[in-house]
Amino acid sequence: MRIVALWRAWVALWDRREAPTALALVRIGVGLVLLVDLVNLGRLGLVTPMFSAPPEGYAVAFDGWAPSVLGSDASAAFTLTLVAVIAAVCIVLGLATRAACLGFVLVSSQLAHLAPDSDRGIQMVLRIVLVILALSWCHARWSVDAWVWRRSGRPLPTMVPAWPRYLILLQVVWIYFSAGMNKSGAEWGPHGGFLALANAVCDPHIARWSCGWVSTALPLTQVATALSMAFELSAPLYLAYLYCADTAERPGRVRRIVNRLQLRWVWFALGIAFHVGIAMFLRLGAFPWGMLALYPALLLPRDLRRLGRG
Amino acid sequence: MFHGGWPEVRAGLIALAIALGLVDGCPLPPPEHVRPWQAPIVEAVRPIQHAILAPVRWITRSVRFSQRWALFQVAAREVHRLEIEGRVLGGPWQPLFRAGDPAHAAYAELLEQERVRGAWDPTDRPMYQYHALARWLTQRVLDDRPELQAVRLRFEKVVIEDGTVRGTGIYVYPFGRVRGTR
Repeated sequence: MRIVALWRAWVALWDRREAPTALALVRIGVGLVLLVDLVNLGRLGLVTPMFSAPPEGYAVAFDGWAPSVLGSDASAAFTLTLVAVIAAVCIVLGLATRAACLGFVLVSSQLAHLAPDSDRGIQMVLRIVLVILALSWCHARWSVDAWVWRRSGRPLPTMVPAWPRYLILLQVVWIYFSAGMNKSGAEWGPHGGFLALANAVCDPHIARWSCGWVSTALPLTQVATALSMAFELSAPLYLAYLYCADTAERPGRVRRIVNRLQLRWVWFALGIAFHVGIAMFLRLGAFPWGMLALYPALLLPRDLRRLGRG
Repeated sequence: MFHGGWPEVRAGLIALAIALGLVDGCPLPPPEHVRPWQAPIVEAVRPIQHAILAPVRWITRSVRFSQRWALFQVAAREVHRLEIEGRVLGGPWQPLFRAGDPAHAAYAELLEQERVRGAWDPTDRPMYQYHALARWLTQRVLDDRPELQAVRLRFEKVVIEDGTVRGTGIYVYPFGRVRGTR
């Protein structure tokens, strides 16, 4: 009986509905990050070198559908990138959203095969999220699709399945937890003196600024390193914090303490600080912005309603 | 228990996807980094992981998905610093670019772009695309600067100490090209 009850609860969890606000915000944020990333490659004249075979570029030979159909020269690189840019624009606008999400994933994965070392973790994160968004009703708000359907007299639903947001939430939590578990360098822990961030902000390959200040602010960087590890390894607890917040009316001492200490907001704020800090001190491209674009999925629907009321 | 309705099917598919993601994300060290005490566990778990993921491997391979996230695994004191140098015929090597050095910043905007950096920033070995990138880049520098007879890339091993970056004079992963050669 217990298993049956658990299964019913599981089915009920993934059958919940909510307003599409969070998913729409994620769609717009992810689309913008992807668009800026691609436009930046074009601005720097990197499309041909990155995605073309030698001697025009340094792409890897592979036998995917894109090289088979388009070849592997500069015009193929341009065509693939242009399709990705158009798909990203459509994702931001919510125009043919599902097709745009899937189209972007297909093209982006071909680009990733052509330039595997340039396919950073954030590109993979956003491809996974786009597959989830393609299966969602993220276009039910703030989109051309919603406008067209409304004009045609068949408006898109105002309450949509919440499971895609839950999956994005789980994905974000897993990324942090997995990253925390996979940190193998001693400098992330007490045995290495928590020197990881002090080292990172001085690494000439990624440091945004000269790091002379580190010698006077070393304890701060050590605290920041320890907080980063605590943030990543405690990510699964965020699910418990959310549950406590969502069921605040129920009894329970732990729930009361978690809610009183506002632990979910502490973790959420740490996450924002973590990514803003990365963006300020390190040149890691789209990573901090791509992750922050997913943060609306970490909120409860009532949080967004409150924000909406301003 | 199971009524065959869409919510049940969907909940089952989601459970399957989450389970596969967790299996894929299981933090097993790469074969070359397995420590002796980890070996028995890794040897037992890895074949199971492979067997479970085999039916879906084509999906993860074709769209390049993984649930193994290794962001900033290591932030060591000993790192590398890329240098690009050029030489006119009979002259000494002159620095064109040195990572993190505003005085030698030719091609900095291009090289320091995060996705380009992925192809040259070494870990404990050069990146997979490093040689292809170096070949393309050296040709570009020679095309841009007709006065140069040769160009080379190399990485100095540097040590980070108390907010300073100290060079060691040890260079690795050199790649050079002389004008007129392939």
